[in-house]
Amino acid sequence: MDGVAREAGPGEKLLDVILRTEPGFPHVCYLAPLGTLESCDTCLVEVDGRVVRSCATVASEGLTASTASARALNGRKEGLRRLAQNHHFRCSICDNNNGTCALHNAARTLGLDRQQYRPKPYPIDDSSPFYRYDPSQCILCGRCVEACQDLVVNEVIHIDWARERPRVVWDSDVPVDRSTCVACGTCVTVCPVDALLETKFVGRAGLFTGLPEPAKLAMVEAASSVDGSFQPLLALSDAEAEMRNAVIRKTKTVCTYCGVGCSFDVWTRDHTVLKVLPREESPANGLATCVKGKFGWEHLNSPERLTNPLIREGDHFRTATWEEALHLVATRFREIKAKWGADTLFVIASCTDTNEEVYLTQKFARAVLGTNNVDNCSRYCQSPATVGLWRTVGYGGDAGGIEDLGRAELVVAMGSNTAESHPVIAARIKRAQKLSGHRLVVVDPRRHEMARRADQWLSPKSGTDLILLNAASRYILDQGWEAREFLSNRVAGLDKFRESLAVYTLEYAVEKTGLAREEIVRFATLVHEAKSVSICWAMGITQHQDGSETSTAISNLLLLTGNYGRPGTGGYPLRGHANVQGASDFGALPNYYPGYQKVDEPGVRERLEKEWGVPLPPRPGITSVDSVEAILEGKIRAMYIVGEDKLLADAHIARTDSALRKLDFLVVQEAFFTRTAQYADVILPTALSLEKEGTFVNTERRIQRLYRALEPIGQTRTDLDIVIALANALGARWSYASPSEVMEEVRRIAPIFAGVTYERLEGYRSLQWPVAADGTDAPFLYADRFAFPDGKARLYPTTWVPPLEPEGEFDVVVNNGRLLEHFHWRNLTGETAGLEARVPNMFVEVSPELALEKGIRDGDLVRVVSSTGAIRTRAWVTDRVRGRSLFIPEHGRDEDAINHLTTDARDSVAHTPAYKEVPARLEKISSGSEPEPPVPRSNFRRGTPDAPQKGIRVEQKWQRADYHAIGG
Amino acid sequence: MSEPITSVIDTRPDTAVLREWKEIWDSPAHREALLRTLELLKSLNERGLLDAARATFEGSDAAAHSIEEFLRESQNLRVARNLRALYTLLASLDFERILSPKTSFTGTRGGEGSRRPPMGLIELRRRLKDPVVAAGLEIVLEALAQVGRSRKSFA
Ligand code: SF4
Ligand code: SF4
Ligand code: SF4
Ligand code: FES
Repeated sequence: MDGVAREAGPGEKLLDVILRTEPGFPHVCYLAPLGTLESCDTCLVEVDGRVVRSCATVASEGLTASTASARALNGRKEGLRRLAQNHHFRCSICDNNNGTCALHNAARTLGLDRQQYRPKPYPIDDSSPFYRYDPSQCILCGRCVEACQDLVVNEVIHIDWARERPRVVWDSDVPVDRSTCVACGTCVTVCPVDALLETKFVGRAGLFTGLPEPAKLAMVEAASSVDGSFQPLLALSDAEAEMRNAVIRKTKTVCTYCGVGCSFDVWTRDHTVLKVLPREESPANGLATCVKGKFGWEHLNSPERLTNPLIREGDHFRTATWEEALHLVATRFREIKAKWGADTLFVIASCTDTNEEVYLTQKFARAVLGTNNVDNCSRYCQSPATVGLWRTVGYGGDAGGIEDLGRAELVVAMGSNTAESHPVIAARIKRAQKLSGHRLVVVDPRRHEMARRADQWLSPKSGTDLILLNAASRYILDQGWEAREFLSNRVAGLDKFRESLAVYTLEYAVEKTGLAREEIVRFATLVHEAKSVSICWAMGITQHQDGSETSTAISNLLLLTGNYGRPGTGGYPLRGHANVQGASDFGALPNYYPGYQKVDEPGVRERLEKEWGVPLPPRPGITSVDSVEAILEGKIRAMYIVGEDKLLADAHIARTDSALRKLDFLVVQEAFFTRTAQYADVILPTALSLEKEGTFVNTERRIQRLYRALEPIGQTRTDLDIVIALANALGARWSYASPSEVMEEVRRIAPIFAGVTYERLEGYRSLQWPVAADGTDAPFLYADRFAFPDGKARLYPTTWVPPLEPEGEFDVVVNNGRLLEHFHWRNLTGETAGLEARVPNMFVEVSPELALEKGIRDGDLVRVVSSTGAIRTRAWVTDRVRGRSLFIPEHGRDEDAINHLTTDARDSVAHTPAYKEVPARLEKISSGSEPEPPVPRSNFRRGTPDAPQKGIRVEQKWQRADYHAIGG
Repeated sequence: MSEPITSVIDTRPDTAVLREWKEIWDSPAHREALLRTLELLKSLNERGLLDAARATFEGSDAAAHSIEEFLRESQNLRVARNLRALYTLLASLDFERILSPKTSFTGTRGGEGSRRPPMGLIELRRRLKDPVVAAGLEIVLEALAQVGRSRKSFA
């Protein structure tokens, strides 16, 4: 290269080789995770006498290249000159002028000093509350299109190269808020210039960007008119970019919502989030996010936030000081313990708290209050999955990483609306299917996005998934397709397992599941034929009476076919909350200490007693679900609930309501005045995730650090500070100076975290447990042995539990789940105006056939009645549901809260409520004049998708009459 | 037996500082001045002008360094002239003219995301001249100066 010998890895691009020694080398459209786009011509070099794009040229042995030749340099300048026709350089008043603008940097490097800017004849599209598109600044690089089409595979945008002035268009050229755009924001993240910007960022990023547009333009004109060159303007803007660092803070954090665990830099100015910027090195998500993580942060400044401790006084709460509130809590806990015993107290740790907070919360229950009655919300969702894995492979966590779902030749997604509940994981699966031809099987009652995309969609009758799985296992055995060598070397229990499958013939399965014989055979065949199979599952599996059994059956099928211990294989329960995995890992369970050490295993308790310096209660506690019954029976008298809306979370609201009323004393530690907080005697106001330091564990067992981006507001404190203060008010002498000190203690007591230190988690670094003392982690489990003493996995026979079925007056079955835009009861997402506007109210999905039978049209007010209660909501007639199955989003918190309908039925092992088995009755209350779906036109579900495409179709640009290749 | 309740009464005791503020607040003249001043400050803040001031102090080292780097290349010396031109321009912009509706450059506003624009610059300037506001500003500026005195100077 320019006369110097250079080394390159196999297949390495010339551009990457150049960037190693010359990081400022121009390249505007190239971004590694998106691959080569070849749309900007700013990276040209001369190779063997020809001018070529270095981003599209593979470095090979003996290749002679020049970056410095006049032809190459002129070529790059010409490329940039062309881009500059599509972009007005006005950097010092540009919100994107943050030192990282690829176009600005190319202009500086190449010394561009004038431009022939030709604005495009299109207005700015700011119809979306989340981001806006300015066609006149768009350089048509195609990064956004590649991201939308092939990285997150939402397939919404393309560049219309056929127009006189090409631009990016949404679907078939509709405004953003009439399109199918799910507002994941990935296009905005990758846009190199200010053509796509976050709405919150516009006018807020720079020191002058908030001025009115005419004033800004006048400034630019004045600054660049002195000698007709805008290099000085670029220089001035470099200075301004530096000055921005004094007002904008960039802090790495982990998303507060779902279990994918997206990490990103959050840009804040004062107490406002301006921008969320995922990075290439973000381990779980790369450059992707979903709408909640990218745009859902207005709750931080909500006037609804609790900012003072509150104490119940007659018919109202009054504000109190921390001293007073903590004193009262300590006194009442002490009294109740003295009078009724420690096991009449119950503690719930929060799944959105950090690991360090969870750890101290469970330690508080055990070592300070003296009870093992401590649990977390995984009890409501994922505990059955953990049971299934414990029984069969030993660890209660995902077998590999999210990456493995992209590697698997076949992914089976069961009871999971992945595209809405775990959007960034869905993106990996969709990408592998689209670009690598991997297969996808979806088992789910609803025809949601993943079901529409699936190579096979199976919709067995509710509560019969176990039969499908076992019938497939039996069919595989009958065909002799089992992985014999794997089974004989690494798995125990085949004979008993084979016996247990006797009843699961195809005939039996057809009868019970309602599926066709061919469908079941095809499913078994697909599993058999794929070289690597991963199965992911969520609450559509676990929230049944046989959730633990079905989870076990999933793992059995994987073992039977040898699908563990290799990349792209294994079981992947998709965890719901940001730190629901960590909440269990760090010991907020009634029967396990941190790191899944059994409370009643000899020797473990003694070891912890030594470490903690207090005697510990010997008997395991009860679960959160059972605590409701225990309150009603008078066995639990006081509760300490951290960050959970128990009234709305538990099945059967009427019963939970009676229980909460009956408590002698209730402490609720919360950021918002939740429905559960209304029952409290004391409310302690907490800080939110961006206001904390600590760690989370995501669904793939990945431990990641959060740094404090903002100071806690008002009198709020972190849960860590509160639980320490409370422990000390009860006589403990806790003196943790920082969350990292807590982690140091955890490493000493929990072997699976032995090597976890804050240094090893610095910045975007992460560790997947178990982590050995030397820091070696486990991105992939079971390569050599399963987590049992003999190293062998177990095939574990399962039993089907017939589900509650529609009968008599309750002739329909209600299913429920998440929507993309919201999280739980909208305590957080409901505070972001754009999210709330997209789904302003809940609804019930009714199949066209049932709607016809009941005379129901879109938007009709209906009542759904079950044996435990009723809800009122609006109807949406859609083929996403079939027959007599209804779907209601779980985000209602008033008369539309789903748990008004759910019952006391539950999984017998994990005790998770059977939220998905609800026989009910559907009644029409009244009709509007015109049928109208219950969500507004701006909701992506009402858009009409355009045909998907692969890549950005840059050939169409090259074929245009006005395009001439540079340098021949 | 605890009924769910939703009403909250703020019973925080007055601290000395709060009492002092309350006194100022209770005098109608002061209250008027403060309200209008706060509104003004909010508007300055929304336009980024307070931050610009802040950045000038806090970011000055890095910014100066970046300019210095640039000036080292002799052909870039002219930047100085441009900088001066820019700041002269900032001071003399004819807001009345450029803010006339004819030259408004807004895009297709009115989507769910529209935010209320901050106070107009004409209004800002008018208020700065208002004697009531000037009095209020004095109080706030004095307070800021107190804070400033405790910080490192950037002379
Ligand atoms: S900073 Fe970047 S996007 Fe903004 S005007 Fe300059 S080159 Fe264009
Ligand atoms: S779905 Fe919308 S926000 Fe996401 S990448 Fe596509 S166009 Fe952009
Ligand atoms: S909007 Fe898309 S095509 Fe236009 S500059 Fe941004 S990333 Fe490139
Ligand atoms: S970076 Fe090579 S063509 Fe754009």
